[in-house]
Amino acid sequence: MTTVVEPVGDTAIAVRARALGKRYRSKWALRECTFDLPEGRVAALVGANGAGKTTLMTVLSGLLDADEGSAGAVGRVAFVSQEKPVYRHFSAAEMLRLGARLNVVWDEARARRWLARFEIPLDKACGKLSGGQQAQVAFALAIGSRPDVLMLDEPLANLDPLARREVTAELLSEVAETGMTVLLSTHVVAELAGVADYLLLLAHGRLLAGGDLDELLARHVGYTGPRSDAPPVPGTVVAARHDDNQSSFLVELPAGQPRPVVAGQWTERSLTLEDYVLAQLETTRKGAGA
Amino acid sequence: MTATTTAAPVATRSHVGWGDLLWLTWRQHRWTILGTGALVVAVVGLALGMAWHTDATGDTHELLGEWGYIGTAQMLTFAPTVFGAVIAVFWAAPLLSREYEQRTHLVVWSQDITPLRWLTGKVVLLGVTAVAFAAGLGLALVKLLNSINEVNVQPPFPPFSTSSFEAAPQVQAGYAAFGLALGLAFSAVTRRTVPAMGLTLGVFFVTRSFVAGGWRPYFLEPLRKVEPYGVFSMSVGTGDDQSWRVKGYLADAAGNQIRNFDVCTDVNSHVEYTKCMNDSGIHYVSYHHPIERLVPFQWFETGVFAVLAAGLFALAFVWVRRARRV
Repeated sequence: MTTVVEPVGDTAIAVRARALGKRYRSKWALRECTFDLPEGRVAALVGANGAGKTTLMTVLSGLLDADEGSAGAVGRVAFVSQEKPVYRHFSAAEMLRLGARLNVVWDEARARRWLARFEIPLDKACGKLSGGQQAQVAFALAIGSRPDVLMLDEPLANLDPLARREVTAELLSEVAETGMTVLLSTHVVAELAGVADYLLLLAHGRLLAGGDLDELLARHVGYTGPRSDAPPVPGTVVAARHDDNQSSFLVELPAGQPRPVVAGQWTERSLTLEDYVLAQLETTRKGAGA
Repeated sequence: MTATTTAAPVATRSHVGWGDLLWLTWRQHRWTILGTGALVVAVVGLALGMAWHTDATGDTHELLGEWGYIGTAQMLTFAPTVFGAVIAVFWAAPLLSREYEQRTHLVVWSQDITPLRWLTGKVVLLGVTAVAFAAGLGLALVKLLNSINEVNVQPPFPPFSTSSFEAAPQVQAGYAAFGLALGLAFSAVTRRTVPAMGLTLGVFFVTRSFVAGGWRPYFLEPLRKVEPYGVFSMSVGTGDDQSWRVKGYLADAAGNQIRNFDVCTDVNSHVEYTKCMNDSGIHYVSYHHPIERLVPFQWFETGVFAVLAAGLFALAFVWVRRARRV
């Protein structure tokens, strides 16, 4: 589906959202969501259950209209929803036929290669395939349509651990070959290590953080040292924990400055993606209570 | 320019065409279409066979009991009524709701096709098929009823009778279009197949009964006819008059309505009764539609259902377009 809402300049932005809002009756599922996803990235859309990930994806893919703001993706978007739906009476080959019939660009070889890679029988009705196999058919359909932007809602949810790793690997090789942009949502952060290079963090319908993953992680540092009210470096405290004689801080360093050197009793620790996401999500839980 | 490293050619074209929608519609609905088609062909075959035999022999081959051609034809005239309901309940009601239930609307609308284009394709292709089936069914039945009427002194299927009136192909087409639109609207609104089918069936029959029973007699103001009792009683049952008597009553000389047995109660024979009625100045007042109104009425009924269908199609499209959830 093509959903060019507004022309995006030559800054090579693949997906853009401006003050995006979407509500279900009076309840806002998504609010004030603004971001630019550069082309060719693999972006992870992370958030707790009910954070608005699916809503954001359905709006970005053009399946739902926004109530506020605007959203747009450059070029053709393929969306695979959480349920990985397929027509139960269609065989996998017929699902590919559907892809060929209903898309203006179709790469049959690529789609078939995906199915072959995961040993999906071509002539069996999809209703008789396992949930994981149905998901592979849905992926093959999306891959075959050669989208500019591929949106996957919880792509790894009903796959076994081995299939998860294989799907991620295949996906990355598709990205490398075609240069498409991928936006995938998950609430299992551990799945993302080494996959995503861009992060969009959602909580309670709002965008908590977003940006290049390496940059985000480089700008956030954990410090542990003697009990103290303030961290040893200037910056925004994202999280702080104190016990009797020790304090630890998660600090967002000011942008554009070299990483300060700390000495003495303080030790610094680089963050993993999981640390970072969990710390951020925790702040919203506290914030919600305050 | 970047050189492509893909060995197999990537198919590229400017748009998704009608042929593609036709492929999808046929692939998804082929058994429903074939099943309905087989029933239509069976009914049409039977009707035309009986019509041909009746024409050839000048006889409706009435056997003992009900199972002559007239009885069979009476059974067959239910087919058109049922056909519209079949379209509504089995073709249209699941059309969107099944996609919503199985979430496959997300698959098909995520391809290079908008929901409205997809829906238009399905409605046009299924609609044309359904209307063609309906018209074919109607034509065959009209032929059968005409053949039977032809060889009977008193035609068993007068033109304004429900069977004859509704068998007209344009009326049938109207019912089919209405059925499709009604089922589709409930399908879009409820998003659940079983409730959509149930509501569609109920509302289809309520609407049909209301138009046929309550409204059709008054599509136009019926003509009033006053005739002396004697003349009226002679004309009853001759079948010469093809007009449609909507209602009638006895009236005294002053024109007031009277009940049948309020007058001339002490007579012993039919002749005496008629004479008494005539002498008392009793008239029969009737309201009727002349035969010239038959075809206009049929077109009007078609129009009524076409307008309803258009409204319901619009509702379904707007509902899909403005969906608040996926």
